[in-house]
Amino acid sequence: MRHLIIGLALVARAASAQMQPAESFAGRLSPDARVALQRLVDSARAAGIPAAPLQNKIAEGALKGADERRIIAAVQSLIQRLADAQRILGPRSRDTDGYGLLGATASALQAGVAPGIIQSLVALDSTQRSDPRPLVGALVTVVDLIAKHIPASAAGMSVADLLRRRATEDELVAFRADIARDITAGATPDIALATRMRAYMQALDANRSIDRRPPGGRASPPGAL
Amino acid sequence: MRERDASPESPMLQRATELLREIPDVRAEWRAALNARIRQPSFNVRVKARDRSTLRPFAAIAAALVFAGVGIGAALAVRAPGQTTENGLSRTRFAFVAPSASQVSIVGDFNQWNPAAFPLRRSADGRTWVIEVSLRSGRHVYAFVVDGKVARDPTAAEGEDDGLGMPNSVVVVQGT
Repeated sequence: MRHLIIGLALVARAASAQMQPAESFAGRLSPDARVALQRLVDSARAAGIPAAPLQNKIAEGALKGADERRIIAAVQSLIQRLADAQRILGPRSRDTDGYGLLGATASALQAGVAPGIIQSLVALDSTQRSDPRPLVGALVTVVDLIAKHIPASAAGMSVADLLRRRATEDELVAFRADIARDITAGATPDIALATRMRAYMQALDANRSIDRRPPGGRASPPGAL
Repeated sequence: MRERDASPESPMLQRATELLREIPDVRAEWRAALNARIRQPSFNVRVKARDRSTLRPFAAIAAALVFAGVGIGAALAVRAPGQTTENGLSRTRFAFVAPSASQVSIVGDFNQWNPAAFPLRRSADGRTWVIEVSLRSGRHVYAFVVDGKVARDPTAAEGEDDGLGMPNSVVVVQGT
């Protein structure tokens, strides 16, 4: 019996640790900062922006002991990116996997991808699929390539070319893993991208019959967004 | 070596074989630690910086093959090694070397930056703290909390500005 009680107490303690809400870390902030942040979260929520990533950012700042003005600025900046992401995604920002897609879009904006490139990826994906995961995978791939010092425009256009050829999520994963491997082996980022793009496009073209004609009927040249 | 020396009947070779088969005299705790490491699951291991050098020759060979135009078709649909998925989540292993730490946890966008949520456990070598976390596919930002202090993952391949002046580590999790 004693062991059972101790066991239950340990389980309860572990569960409470897992369930501890992010808001509790905001308790480390001054009352003024808490009020300012709560106002930001409330107004964002009223605009349809999910509160969870904002509360996460507040918890992150509080945990790191960051300057309060900096936390407020970081939350404002995140709200702006999420609002931009919502605008770019349109109705798709409310997909079942909505935050995954919204978060990936906001990350792409933070990484410096031009809104026009993201819009092209969204449009390209929307015409071909109903599942948001390939688009999330595409955005993650673009951000990952930028982190590997590939220019944002080249990264965006390359992934658009792969999406146009109906690359699957697995193929995008393999694509970025191969580029990472080539760079680790000594290739420059641009050479790694060019080499892998050539290989993947050839393989995708060979493996699938592609309808290159968009709904308008005109063929789009390779590389065009 | 002459052929007759290499025959199974050669006494010298038999003695050498026996010597090689003998289990060397090692400390029991060292053997236990080694066995524990062998038993560790190998999937999605976050390779420590010092281990990367052992991968370079293989990576170089792979790249050389690719640049030579070999295996272009085979490059498609290849998952990164060591990925396991379950219920749409991928198990990802994190490790942090901190021999003198008394408590290490991982925080990130997957646990609301809650240092109490995912504590790491000290591994058998007594130096490395480890944990496996189930993550959704995509990019995740994270950090370690070592005895109350936030620390970056020194082995992370990528970092990302957090807007707070303390860059985060990034892990990219494959799709399911």
